Amino acid sequence: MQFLVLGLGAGAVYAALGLGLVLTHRASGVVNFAHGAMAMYPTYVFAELRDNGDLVLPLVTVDLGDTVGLWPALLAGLLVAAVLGLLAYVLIFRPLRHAPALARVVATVGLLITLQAFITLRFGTDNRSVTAVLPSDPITMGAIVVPRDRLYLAVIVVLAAFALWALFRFTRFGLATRAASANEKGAALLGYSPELLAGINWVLATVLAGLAGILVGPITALDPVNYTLLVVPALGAALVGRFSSFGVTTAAALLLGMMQSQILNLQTELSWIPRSGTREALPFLLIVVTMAVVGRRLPSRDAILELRQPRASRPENVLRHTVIWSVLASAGLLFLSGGYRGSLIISLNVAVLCLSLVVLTGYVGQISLAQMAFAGTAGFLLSRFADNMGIPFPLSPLLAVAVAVVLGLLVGLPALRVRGVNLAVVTIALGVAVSEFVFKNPDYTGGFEGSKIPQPSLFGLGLGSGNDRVFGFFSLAVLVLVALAVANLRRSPTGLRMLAVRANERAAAAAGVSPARVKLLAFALSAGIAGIGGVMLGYRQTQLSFESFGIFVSLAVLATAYLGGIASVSGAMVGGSLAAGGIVFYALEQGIGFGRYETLVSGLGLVLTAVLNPEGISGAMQHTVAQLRGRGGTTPPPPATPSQPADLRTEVSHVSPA
Amino acid sequence: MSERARMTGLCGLAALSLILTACGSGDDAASESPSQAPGASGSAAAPTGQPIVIGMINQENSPAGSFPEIRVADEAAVKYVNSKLGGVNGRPIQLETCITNGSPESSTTCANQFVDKKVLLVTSGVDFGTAASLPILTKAGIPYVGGVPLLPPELTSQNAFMFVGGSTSAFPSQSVFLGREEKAKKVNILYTDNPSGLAAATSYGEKVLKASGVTEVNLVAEKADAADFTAAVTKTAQGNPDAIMVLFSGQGCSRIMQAAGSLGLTSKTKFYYPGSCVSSNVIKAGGSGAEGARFNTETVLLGDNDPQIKIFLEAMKAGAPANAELSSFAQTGFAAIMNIHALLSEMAPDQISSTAVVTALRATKEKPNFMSHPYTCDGKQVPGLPAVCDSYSKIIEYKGGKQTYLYNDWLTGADKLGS
Repeated sequence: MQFLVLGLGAGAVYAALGLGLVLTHRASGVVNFAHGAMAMYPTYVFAELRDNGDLVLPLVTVDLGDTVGLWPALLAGLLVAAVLGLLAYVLIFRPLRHAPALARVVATVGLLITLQAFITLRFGTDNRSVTAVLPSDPITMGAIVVPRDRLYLAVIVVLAAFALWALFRFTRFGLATRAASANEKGAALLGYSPELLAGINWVLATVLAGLAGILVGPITALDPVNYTLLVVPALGAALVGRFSSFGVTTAAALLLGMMQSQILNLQTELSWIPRSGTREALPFLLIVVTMAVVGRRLPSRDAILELRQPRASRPENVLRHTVIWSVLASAGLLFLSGGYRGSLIISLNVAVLCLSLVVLTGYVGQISLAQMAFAGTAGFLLSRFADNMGIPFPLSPLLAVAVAVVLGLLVGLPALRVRGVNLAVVTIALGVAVSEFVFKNPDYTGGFEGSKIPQPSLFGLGLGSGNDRVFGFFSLAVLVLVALAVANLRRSPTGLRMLAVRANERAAAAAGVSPARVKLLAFALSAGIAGIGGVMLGYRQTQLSFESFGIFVSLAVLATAYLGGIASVSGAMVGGSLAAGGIVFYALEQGIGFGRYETLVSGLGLVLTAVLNPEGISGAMQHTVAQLRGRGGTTPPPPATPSQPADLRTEVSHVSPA
Repeated sequence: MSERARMTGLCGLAALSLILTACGSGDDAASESPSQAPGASGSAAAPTGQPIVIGMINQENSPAGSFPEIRVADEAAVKYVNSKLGGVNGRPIQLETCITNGSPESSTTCANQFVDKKVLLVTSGVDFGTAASLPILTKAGIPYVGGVPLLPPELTSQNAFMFVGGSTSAFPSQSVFLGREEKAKKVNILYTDNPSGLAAATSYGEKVLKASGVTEVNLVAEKADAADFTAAVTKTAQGNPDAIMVLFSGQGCSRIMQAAGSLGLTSKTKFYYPGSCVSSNVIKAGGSGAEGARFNTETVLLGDNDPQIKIFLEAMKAGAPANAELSSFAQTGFAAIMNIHALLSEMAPDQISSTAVVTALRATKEKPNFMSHPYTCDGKQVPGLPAVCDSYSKIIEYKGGKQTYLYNDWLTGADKLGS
């Protein structure tokens, strides 16, 4: 009982954020992965005002004396939250209101990265004590001792959920918002501005998030990682509430907190409960199962209008491109010195990970935030196979990748019934579960010593590791093979089926394509390619630990792939070169000491790409080249067909035997 | 067993190739330094010889943790060595810093950069990415010296030399103190829920406690980024243990202090935190729960009347920004540079090379360790962790805004880790 009550603290934190998630989704259809990060900035503003009397704005700091009183500081924090919410809506999510789910997910991930980098630069990562707003002295009820503020918080979130429910149920504003989300045109005809409504809801959600952040600050402690990550359990709760019910979300959040607390209690009593990660894994496994059971095999009617998918053009001149890229990379490997060569090798390895997303997200439109779970599975298994069991080189990585493929199939199962942004939520939950339950379990991943990976060798010839030249060529060979396979996939009938499913599942099913089979195949392929990426990462580092495969790494990989161009092989190459630690990054770091701002710039770049240029840098380059050619009059420019169905029609006519 | 043999073979190969390259750079140094640094030795005149380039990898600006105070302390120490001690026999130390965000890619970048620059050795502050960076340095024959060891790679590497033991000092010495001096019978451990946390809890905590006479030990795990620590702290305090050992760092420590404070536990149970949490930030964020908290410390306290503390405070005043933090991490970083300086000063100027540094370190025995217990880098100080050169700590208590010694002799539990 004691632990159930104590769990209310964590539950209230999840609920407070979960409510904001539901609110934003109801207003604008966005599942905001940056919600925790958006709660963080107002909380920092509040803490800084209370501690030092400094009002820290993005570019300037205003000194308001030694400290600022509770109410003015709270007001300032909430005002900052309101402005943040308004800006986020006006600059990012309003332009994206008709964009496909992927662009919106990527935009929120970009916002998350941006805010986190901004906070780190502006406030540092030191421990922050947030002055308590609620009293926290213990309250004793029989054998139960619990700090007062946890109980107050739980009551507050329940009241807030009730108030929001009433707002949406009984007020004109609530009705209008619901009307606008059900039928935008209809609401507009009735004289409501859907955009104004969505904007107000965004402000409301961010102010709530800010308030929640400030209230829970003393419990969770304020730092850039914690607040950002708290969104994961909150997403779980909101998912159970189907992103629409305030009550169910709050109940689920409180239950989740209580369950985790109870598991903690039982973990030490019952030895059969694994010591690592059970608390994080169990709730999410439940969510995944629920979603898979509750979800529908085909999308509902309102969900089929997915416009502006990134263009997945058919690779032309594959041979020429392969030769050019390979020669460039080989020259780099031959002539660059240690540091540059090392970063080029990182780029070659990351490009493989990007390719795994090209197949899954670019071709089939499935959003996965768990790519590193596949990579990690293969990487750690490689260590088991090669180091512990002594299985020789070509066999051990192949076996490891095969297991990643099986995992991909398993993850693909929920994708048969869950789609779009919900799938992103399921995969992020899975990513966390695998990372906590498997990768952090010393029984599977070597514990203190980590997982060692011996240097591969073929016919007695060492293939190297780290920034060895030999390893560079090994990496290049692997990348070329994978890239050719992905390019050929796009040209094959299977690739066309994938695009058909991406464009319109219902139509594809009507045309005889089985969306289920296509999706499973894509998941398997993508997991296999990510597994190859994980194996290469292992060979490069010679030692693996769970840090290499965390959820933020998965987000960074998605960001990199999207920035480069999610739907084309050349996009993956560009993504690889832009990767953290990759060749472009290293050159910038060496040239202008750019490292400090790298994360901030890549976050902003991601948001900009999502809003302005969903085809990524590679797409923009191709477009420019095509335009230039068009002007030169050598080749006609490709028909301007931004929407996928048109794109597909040209493709199909292209392939069908004449 | 066979894989160990293979690893040793690899190391041998790597070392061999390194000797070749290192000798090359050693020759350069030999040809230039004697001509450029005549008469500079021993005096405090500005060193004019060929600079000795040392790399420093430190984690900053990262959401996972930022430790600029170590770099600041290192820089102040280098300034002190060059301005007051005349460098290393007339050759100035040149500190090249590389900031990592702790990811493998970022730390790899730093390591590659230092391999390119052919630095003599790399020292570090905190780096979560050593799993990726250390193999590169090892391969290039560049030793990794000093810094704050937190993760397995820098503890287990044959190429790393740590003047302090970090967690391998904190928990064993606290365990010995609890069992031998406090006569504790029941101790509960709250540890970070990850593989190295569990390993530390069982092999540094539980094992040493039991070897020191504690009869009952219970382990509770919690994630470093848990939403609320009260459940875990309540669980750990269940059954009225004589003491609670906390295996967390920075933020985790202050959150546990907060939770213990708001649950009203601090007056009932003694909480022991690792020395890495001795910092004004942690204690301030811990609020009322920090009162009465106990820590180990691997460096002597700033309040001590100690000549080396005096040097540290003066050098920091002269060479660091006014608001620089004087935490235990800062002390450790400063001490690493001072130890490196002492070691290099004993070598013949034309003999200074990466391999020579490794040989000299390996040969050290009870060598004076700046602001700390003497070190011995024979690789046998802590069983299974060849990088640790010293594992001794003292025990301190925080009360009424001050740190005071609870046990003012050097303690180690390393001898109880082996069996």
